[in-house]
Amino acid sequence: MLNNNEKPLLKVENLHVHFKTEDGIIKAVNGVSFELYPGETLAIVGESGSGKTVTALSTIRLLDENGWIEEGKIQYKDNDVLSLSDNQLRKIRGKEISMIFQEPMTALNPVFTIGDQIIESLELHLDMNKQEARRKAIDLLRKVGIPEPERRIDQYPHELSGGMRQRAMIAMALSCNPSILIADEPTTALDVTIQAQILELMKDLQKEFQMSIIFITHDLGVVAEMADRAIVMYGGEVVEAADIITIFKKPRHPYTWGLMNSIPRIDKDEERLLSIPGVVPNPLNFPKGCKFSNRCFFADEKCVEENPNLEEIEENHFSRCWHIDRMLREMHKVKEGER
Amino acid sequence: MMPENEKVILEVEHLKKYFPVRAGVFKRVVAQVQAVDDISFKVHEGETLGLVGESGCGKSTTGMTILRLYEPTFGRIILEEEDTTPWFMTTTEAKRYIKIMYADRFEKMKQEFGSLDEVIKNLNKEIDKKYAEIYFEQGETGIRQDMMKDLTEKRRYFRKNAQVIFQDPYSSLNPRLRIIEIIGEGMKVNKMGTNQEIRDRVAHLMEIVGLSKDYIYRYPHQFSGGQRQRIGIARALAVNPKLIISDEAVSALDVSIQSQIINLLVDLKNEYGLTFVFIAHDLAVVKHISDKIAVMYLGKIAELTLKKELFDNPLHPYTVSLMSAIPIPDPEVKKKRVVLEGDVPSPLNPPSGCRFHPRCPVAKEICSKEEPSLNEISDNHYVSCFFPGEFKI
Amino acid sequence: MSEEFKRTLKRFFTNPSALIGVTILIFFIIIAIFAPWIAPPKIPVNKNLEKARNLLENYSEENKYLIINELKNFWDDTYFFAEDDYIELSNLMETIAKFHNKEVSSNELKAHIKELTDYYILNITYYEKFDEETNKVIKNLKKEYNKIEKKYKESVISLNLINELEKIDGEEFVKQAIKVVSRFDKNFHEAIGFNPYIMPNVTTTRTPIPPSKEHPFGIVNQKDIFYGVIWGTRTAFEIGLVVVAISTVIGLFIGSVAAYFGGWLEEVLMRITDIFMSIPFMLAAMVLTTILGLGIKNMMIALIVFGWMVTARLIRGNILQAKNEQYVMAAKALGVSDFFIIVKHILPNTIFPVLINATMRIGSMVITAAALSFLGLGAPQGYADWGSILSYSRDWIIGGTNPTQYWFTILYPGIAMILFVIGWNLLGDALRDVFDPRMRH
Repeated sequence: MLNNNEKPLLKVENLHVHFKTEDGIIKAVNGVSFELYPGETLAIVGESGSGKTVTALSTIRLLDENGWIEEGKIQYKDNDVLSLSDNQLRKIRGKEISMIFQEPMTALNPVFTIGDQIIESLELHLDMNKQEARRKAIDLLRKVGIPEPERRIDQYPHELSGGMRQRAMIAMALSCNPSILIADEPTTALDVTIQAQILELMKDLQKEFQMSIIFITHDLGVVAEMADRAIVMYGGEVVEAADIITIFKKPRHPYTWGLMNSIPRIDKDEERLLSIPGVVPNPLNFPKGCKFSNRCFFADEKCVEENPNLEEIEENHFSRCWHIDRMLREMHKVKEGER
Repeated sequence: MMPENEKVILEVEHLKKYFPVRAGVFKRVVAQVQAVDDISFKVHEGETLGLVGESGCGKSTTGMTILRLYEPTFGRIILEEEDTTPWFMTTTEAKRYIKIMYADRFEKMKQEFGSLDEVIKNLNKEIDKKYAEIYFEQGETGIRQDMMKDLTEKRRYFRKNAQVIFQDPYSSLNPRLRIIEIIGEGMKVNKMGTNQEIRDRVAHLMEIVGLSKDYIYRYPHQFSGGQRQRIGIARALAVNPKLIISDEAVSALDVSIQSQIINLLVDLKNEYGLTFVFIAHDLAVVKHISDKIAVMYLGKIAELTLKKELFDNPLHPYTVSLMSAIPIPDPEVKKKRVVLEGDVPSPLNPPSGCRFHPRCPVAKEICSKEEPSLNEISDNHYVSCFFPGEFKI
Repeated sequence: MSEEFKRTLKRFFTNPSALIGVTILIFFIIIAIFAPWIAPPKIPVNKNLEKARNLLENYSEENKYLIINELKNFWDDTYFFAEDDYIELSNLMETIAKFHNKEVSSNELKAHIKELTDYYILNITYYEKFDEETNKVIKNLKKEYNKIEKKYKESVISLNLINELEKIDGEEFVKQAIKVVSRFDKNFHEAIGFNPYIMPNVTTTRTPIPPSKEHPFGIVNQKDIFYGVIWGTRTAFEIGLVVVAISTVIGLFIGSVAAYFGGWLEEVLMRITDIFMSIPFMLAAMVLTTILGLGIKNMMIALIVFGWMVTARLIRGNILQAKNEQYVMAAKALGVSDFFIIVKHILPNTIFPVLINATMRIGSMVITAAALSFLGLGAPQGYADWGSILSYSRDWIIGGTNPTQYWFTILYPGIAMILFVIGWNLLGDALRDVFDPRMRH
């Protein structure tokens, strides 16, 4: 919506990712396509097993040993990511595309100080010498709002609180001025007051560093607050994609609509939550037709038999559903019925 | 909303739970983690009290201490007009407790008021009146005999009537037991029927929580997270408890599953008139399910009032900031937000005075020196702040 | 469970290390079971019984009395003194009873014993040691009496059997006679204390003899290596299983008591565990075996005494962890008793790592036992044990024209031992993979 005349920074087309497990092959991601434009924040929304994290990790080929990209095309600027050598890829990872995770303790090495880790990345990617790198690291820590960075730089990860650790990880991720930051549930493990701090920080830093953010989350509140555009994933597929206002105001997929109405909110007094029946599907065993058909309020035989395509239902608003009309007709009835 | 004359199921008075920090060869206590520090509240029959706060505020410890999975350091826990505090103590601890909680207090009052009738008149809790009478007739031993007789029976009574639902649907069910054994265990322990009756009731409970009764011989790993949480709820319901403490019962679930479980809990509550203490870090969830909410910060209650009053008229600066920090799932609402500075301090070494003062946007000099008590500002609205309502957005 | 069980089995049998490990162990189990057929022990024969058996094979009427004669001769050789001895010892027992009732003085009893030693019915030491250790001597005399009584009863039965044989003829006679002969055979082996675990001497020279058709693994110190390796399999299983089973039970007990009761008891038990752990295992086992005296049994005791600590620590850690699981809390909140919490909720979820560890330890225990035998502290001379055979080779490593001259003395028992240890380790590895809770969900 924002920059459609601009060239996308990252373009993913028809991505399929599979994993081999002892129970069989898991088709975690099935034909996901999206584009990321410079300076925007794209939210990937979904529940566990929806494939949101795998999709994001695939863009820099960061998959576990038992996973592989079966099919698809990933283009970063002018590079075809899938045909890059490991060496070329390493230059992109961390320098141009960097990541932050839900649990910073797993991403930070516990035996090095946070300074060591930032400085190492600076030396590696930007060819700085030790003094320069240290100065820059202190500068970064100050920028991410860590008080007394001169002292903190020599501390170990376990000496910091959860919020501070997350800030340190952000500092590390930003050390080489990346053009894309992939944030995988970066605030899920944090308390709300700390989450508020981190979200504010990310917004400020995005402006300052002029970067694009892929924000992976299940929290619709965070999506509404952070994202310009969102894609909703379910069962390894994109089920709806649009700009943020459209997604929230005019959801055109039963799953998106259900999700929006199933969360308790502090700004409204809902009598009863809408509850989507059934369980989150097991990726080993997705339904045959539409992946959501076995939990959908509006599904019929067609949905069970045949998976709909992701159609552009209005400009820049995509949905994967046979029965958008029926949903619009019946959704109030469903809501009433639930009560 | 809840009339005051209604029956009180749970009353917690001045509850404290300190965890000693030990170090060195001789395991000397070098410090105390003040996880819960002097909190009091009441829960009426059929009511749900929400305990909300950030990590380290002591909300879960409060729940575990009420359930006596941790022994309280100080305070009184009354379940249905019975002082249950000494039931799980050793004899010496119980003796000490009865002396401090009753004997010493009555003795002091006797000197103050003179006559026994006056003392009893000046006590406003039924339980205090009861033990005062016993004390003046039979002395301290009388109280002790009354409280400590049939201890096994009393413990069983307590365990049967105070139940718990845990957060983690994976670690809260023993992976090596079948569902019928998991749900039926409490009934078996409390001798609530023959094997046949227990099986029938387990099947019935499975249907109540929305699972097919055909699954009673399965093992936990054959269920999804949401289903396991339903099994945990059925286990708690099985013994017909008077009080259920739910410790982050929906926090670990996916969004679409979370709403199923919340709806289930609301339905069960309405249908069976259950009394809940609902512990969670998510204010939106707590709001949806509770009648009354206590906001906790660093082991203390910051604000305690009815749900509507709390959201219409939050008075404690921490409550205000907490509400403003929650992102609202509506991109058109661009609300004003107070971003609290810094982290929650460690309960090992809490700040002096008001525990919130280092992060408080309206803290004044007195806040760092004196500790505010939990005062009833308006009807049923308790706030522990020197300047309630001063901070608004 | 069946579904879960099937999955577990499938996981187990698709695991390559499990397959290799199980194959190796099944191979050894088969060898152990069929050892008497694979390497038949040289069973000593009694000449009379041998003759009787030969006659029975070509049975004819006139042979009958020859056969009975041979059996009678055997009886004479074996049981001639049984009755006398029994009567004499019965009298002695009476004297002892009287001695206990103070009707007979200690000198009179001593005189009675002297009488028996003079007739060579009793060993002279009973008389010599009587004054110093009266009670012990009496205790041993009672044992002696029981032995003699048993022998006397057997002699009566045997004589009856022979007399019965005289009364029957033909087919019936042959059938019964064969039974009697094998019964006597057994008695004979018992009487001379035959033990198939003792490797027989097969040559007269001590120098190792390279593998040949008759002795496929060669000969060392007059012993057939093939025989030793095959029968040594049984010894290896015995040492590994018994030592690990008992030490695991001890460790489980100490570890769970420590974890469950906590407090000072835990401190004390775990400090004791630490102390045991701080002593080098090999050294401790060596010293204790030397103190207790040589022999397989004493070596096993030493290995048990210093082999329980890992289990104790493991189970303690696991229980402490499981104690904080929410299902344990939930059971507590339901009012389940502590005993049932341990038995139903904690142990079933903590025992697997211990069993896996025990499996792994079986192999290493056998190595340690072999090391002790190699140093001459374990199995007695000639006992079929891989370590003992290796200890023979020790004498020849520098003895030949070059160190590899007597390669077969090391190679075969060495391979057996390595395979055995690898088998258990692979099995343990596989079990860990299959049951590791982190691999679930």
